[in-house]
Amino acid sequence: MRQLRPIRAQLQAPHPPQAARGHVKVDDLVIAFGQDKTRTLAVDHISIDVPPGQFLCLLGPSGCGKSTVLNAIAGFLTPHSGAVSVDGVEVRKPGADRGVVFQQPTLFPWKTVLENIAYGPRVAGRRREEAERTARHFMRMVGLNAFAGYYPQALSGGMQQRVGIARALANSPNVLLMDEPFGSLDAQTRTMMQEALLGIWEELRTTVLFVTHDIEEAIFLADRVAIMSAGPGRIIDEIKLTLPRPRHSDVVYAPEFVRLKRHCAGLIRTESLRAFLQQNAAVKPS
Amino acid sequence: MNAGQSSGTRWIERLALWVSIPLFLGVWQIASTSGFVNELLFPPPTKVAVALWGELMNGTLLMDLGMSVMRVVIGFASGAVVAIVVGLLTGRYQLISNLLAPIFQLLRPIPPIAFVPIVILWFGLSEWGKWFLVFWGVFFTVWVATHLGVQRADPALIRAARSLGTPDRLLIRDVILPSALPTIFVGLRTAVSISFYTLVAAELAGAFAGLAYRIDLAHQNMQTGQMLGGLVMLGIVSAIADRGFATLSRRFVWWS
Repeated sequence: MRQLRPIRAQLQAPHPPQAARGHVKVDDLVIAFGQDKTRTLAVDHISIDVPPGQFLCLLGPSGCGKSTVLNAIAGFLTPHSGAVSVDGVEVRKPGADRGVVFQQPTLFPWKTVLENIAYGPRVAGRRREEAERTARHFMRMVGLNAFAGYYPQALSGGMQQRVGIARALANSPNVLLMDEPFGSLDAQTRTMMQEALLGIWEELRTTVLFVTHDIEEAIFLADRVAIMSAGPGRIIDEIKLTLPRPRHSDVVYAPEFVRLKRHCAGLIRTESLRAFLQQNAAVKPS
Repeated sequence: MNAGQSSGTRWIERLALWVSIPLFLGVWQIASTSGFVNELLFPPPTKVAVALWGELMNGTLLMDLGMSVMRVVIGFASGAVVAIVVGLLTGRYQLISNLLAPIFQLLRPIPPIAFVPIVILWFGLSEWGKWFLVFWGVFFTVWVATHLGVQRADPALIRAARSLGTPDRLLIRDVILPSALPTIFVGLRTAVSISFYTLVAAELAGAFAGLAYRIDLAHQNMQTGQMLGGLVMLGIVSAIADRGFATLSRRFVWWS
């Protein structure tokens, strides 16, 4: 029996704790859209290093290319130059190791809540019962236990987005990529969703890249905020947040929070103004 | 029906629904028997019913019905299946679309009825000719619907599926086909009525049984009761097919 022990240790080796996985590296990324004359630089030499388990927010005005960076990590876009890797493996196409939560919930309307969440494990080859057990676990986590048999159309926007989060999590991704997931929700629901997301993240500690244009949201959620400028997209500042966790919604009144918010708002205002003037100059009749 | 309406108006509305067809038959009966029109050319519903009863008793009605329904079912099913498969391919793969779509766009506007003479030369008066014509009529409608449905499949859903680990080979089955299904069913339902049009054309051109064949035969014998009876039967059968199909499509595309 003793001889078996080392083997067992080996068997456990491929399953390190969650926090050890999910190291995202974006290295000198350049992404351009359009052909020659109409070519615009969306992402201009961006580098980001997200250690495993970190919650990073990409904050910037609309059109600054923050979603483009996220799409490159998700594998939906091919970089013009530079590289994106997760845990040392270069990203070439979308994959279940990177869960994506979109701005719109994009649930399969022909599947129930349970079937939507179980889809990832099913397509990964799990048996139905096993996939549904996983799905039920995450359905409980997002608080939708009672809605297993509902179709997405019957749920509110916030509930649909929670299904979207559970669906991404059911694949046990190393990284969770979130593209303004609460952008289309009303203010009350958004606050609730942010708190719920933090609760889930504190339990799972997966790496999260969260794109938002909402300053308060970024500071409330993140360990670290990377602020982007528009046209072309660059990172102009990074802030490491030291606000204690777990955070509750009243943290927004803390002096530290207010100070950070003012700092970010100032940066973004200057940048938006610069981008606006730049666009105007470009539009002027020649 | 609006919740605010009084029960009185709703009662009348429901009555109108029940009265509708009897009213039509009643006006028809009076118009035919009053001497206002020639009763020989325009027999009243009672005479039509007698004619249909006679055909039911001597067995021709069920035989005609069976033959016609069979032709529609075979032509429709084969046309729909082939069209859906081809539509999935042309909608999904640009190469196949570039190869086939121009041909289909050229053939599609030709009314299927125009093919009747050549089809008789090809297939004679055999069943193959009838199946072919119905197939032809159904195919293009369902192909266009499938092709458009596939092309309009929400790219966001495809992205979501890919990020959930769906391999390319499962994308059609898991995402694209269900996305296109509501559009496909609209095409299929249109094709149901088209298949009856082409059936009539095929049977009028030459057959040995069938509802439209019976109308043609009755015409030669000046049996106006049988003729109108045949029209009534065609109306009933295609209405049942359409209603049945609507129910079916609600079951198959429950989410839209």
